[in-house]
Amino acid sequence: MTFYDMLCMSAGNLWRRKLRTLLTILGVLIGTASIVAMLSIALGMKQMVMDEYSNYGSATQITVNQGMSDGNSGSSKDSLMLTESNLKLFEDMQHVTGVEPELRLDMTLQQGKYQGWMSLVGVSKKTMEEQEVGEGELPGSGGSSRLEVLAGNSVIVNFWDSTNTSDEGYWSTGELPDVDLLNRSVKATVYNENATNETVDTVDSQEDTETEEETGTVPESEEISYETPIIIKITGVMSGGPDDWKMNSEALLVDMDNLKNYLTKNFKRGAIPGQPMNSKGQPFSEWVYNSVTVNVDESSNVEAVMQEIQDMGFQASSNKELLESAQQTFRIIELVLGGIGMIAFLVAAIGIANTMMMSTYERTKEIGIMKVLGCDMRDILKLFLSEAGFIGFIGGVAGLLFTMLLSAAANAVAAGYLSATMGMADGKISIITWWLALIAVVFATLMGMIAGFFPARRAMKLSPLAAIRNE
Amino acid sequence: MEQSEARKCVIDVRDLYKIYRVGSNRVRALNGVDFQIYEGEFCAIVGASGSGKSTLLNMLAGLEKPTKGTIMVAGQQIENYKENERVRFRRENVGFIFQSFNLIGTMTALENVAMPLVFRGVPKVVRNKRAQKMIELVGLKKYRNHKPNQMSGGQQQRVGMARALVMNPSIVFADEPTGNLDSHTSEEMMQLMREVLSKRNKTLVMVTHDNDLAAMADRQIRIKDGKIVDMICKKNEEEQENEAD
Repeated sequence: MTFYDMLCMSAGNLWRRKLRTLLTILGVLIGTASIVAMLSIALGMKQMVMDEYSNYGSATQITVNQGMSDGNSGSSKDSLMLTESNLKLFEDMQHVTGVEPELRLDMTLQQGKYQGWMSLVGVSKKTMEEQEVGEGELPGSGGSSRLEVLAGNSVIVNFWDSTNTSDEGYWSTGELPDVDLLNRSVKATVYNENATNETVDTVDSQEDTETEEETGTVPESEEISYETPIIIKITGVMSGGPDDWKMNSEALLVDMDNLKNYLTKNFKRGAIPGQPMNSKGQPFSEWVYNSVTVNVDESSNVEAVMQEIQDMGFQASSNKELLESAQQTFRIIELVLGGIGMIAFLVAAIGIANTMMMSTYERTKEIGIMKVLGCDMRDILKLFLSEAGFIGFIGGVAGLLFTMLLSAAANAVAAGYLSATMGMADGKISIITWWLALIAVVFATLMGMIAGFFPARRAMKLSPLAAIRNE
Repeated sequence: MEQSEARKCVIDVRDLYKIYRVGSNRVRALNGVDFQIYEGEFCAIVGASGSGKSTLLNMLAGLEKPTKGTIMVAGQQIENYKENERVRFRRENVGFIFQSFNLIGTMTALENVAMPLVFRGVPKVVRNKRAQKMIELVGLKKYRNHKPNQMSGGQQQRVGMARALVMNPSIVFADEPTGNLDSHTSEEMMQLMREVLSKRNKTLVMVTHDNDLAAMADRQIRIKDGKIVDMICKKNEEEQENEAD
């Protein structure tokens, strides 16, 4: 018996009992739909949370901060500064694919009566190019005379009305301050704790540190201005609404070379804001970074690299554990939801078994005739299996299509709700991936065949004499 | 004797027993049967109901296993065949005509006739051509697209006959083929069957309880209580006598 003939025959047999076939298929449809719907919700939830987490960095990244000294002095050891030479050490470690330093400069921005505290972050060209620009364009190299800056999408909410003493910012009023970062000029000021070094370069270092510590309390008595204006030009704003939190969404990004260039040109050595002094009160001969992101080749190696960096005395942390525990949680959620869906499918499978069993009883005579006429026992088994498989397959496909519609509708409804309450522009509560679709159909077909196996075996073993016995 | 050498023995049954267990009783459906049937012969197995004639036919056609004895059909020793070997044996050597026609109700006459070819994996074009030829042979050209319930009993049995012949088997078994037909149709049917089969030198083994029909056969085997009580041979009477000894 050829495969094609068998398919035709089994399809014909199903067609002969349309209503019963339809009802059985309906059962499989509901079973498949319940599994796919449950899993798609699990996948949607996972996707949402993982998207959220990926804002904090990927699982193969380690964030390194300045190391702490042994504790009693409270000041950092010179060797534990994130200097260029230490970066080189990280870079040379096994499994490390690259390091990404970050140079931070805190400053005040002002436009009209509004002002706010921000961080200016120097990042590499690569990081800069990865940013999604909502308005304006990516900053260029800027040159030494000014800093070209990309503002984070939620920078604007950090401005407050300086004339208003009631301390009501965006968070309590919900009103965005009247600040236009792109089209109106913004005044930036850095508070430079190293300003004294500019004038008192020769002063004994001991004294220098003393003064530095006190400056915070008595700034106005000196002629030295700690408030140094900085010339910045905001060329673009990141994509996303003011409430969408992501990496650097509250910061101003500037090209690292641009920042270094500007700082060396406009400040004397030792008076560069944000750069720490060594234990002798002298400036470091290299740039000192605020934090470094170390990229590791594989997440399984993160632990080892992190340990190595910590052994050097630095503070290192990664998202690996967070991501892994989240993944673990979602695996359990998937299992539980899939298991609930499975119950409906099990009922459908029993339905298939029942239908096929009925079919063998009904067709006892027909099966007998076929056997007398020389139909192979295996062919009879295959015939019944393919009928059951057909029911599973059609039910699986129909259930999948049904769930796809349902999923699209749910996402459409949820999209509005999610963006309104959680600030997620493209959140989906239900995701049907191609592999979920494929597995659903294959699974439904297989389950149909498994359910049909015993009825099919019964048909195969029927005696051919049943046919010629006169009823 | 020389003539008997030339005629090929297609069925050779020796010392055949079939014992059914009914509760604690043993029922001897066949109680030691020996006979031979030659190629091209029309053989009728005659007996009252319960005489064991149907059991004998089922065993010859490879539908049932004997309790004891040997059956040689078309050169094959079939008594120890397993289920799937029997299926293959039937497919390759045997055509079967049923009393109650046993056509598949959802299929047309043509499809019914073509069905044994489906089991053999013959492509659709070829099998339709062969089925068509058989349908024409039994004179049902007009009815080839009719379903069984749109045909008379005689027509249905002709479809059954076409189905038995479509595989070109060397032996055709018929279990009371005219049992469900009126006497006029029965006669027509028998004539057609003889004509078609003897033209092709096929062996026909028919079970019947009708003595008139049995009289048309070349050889009659009369069975009573599981034993052969009489064997009548039309042609070569004396030769038959010799062999029976």
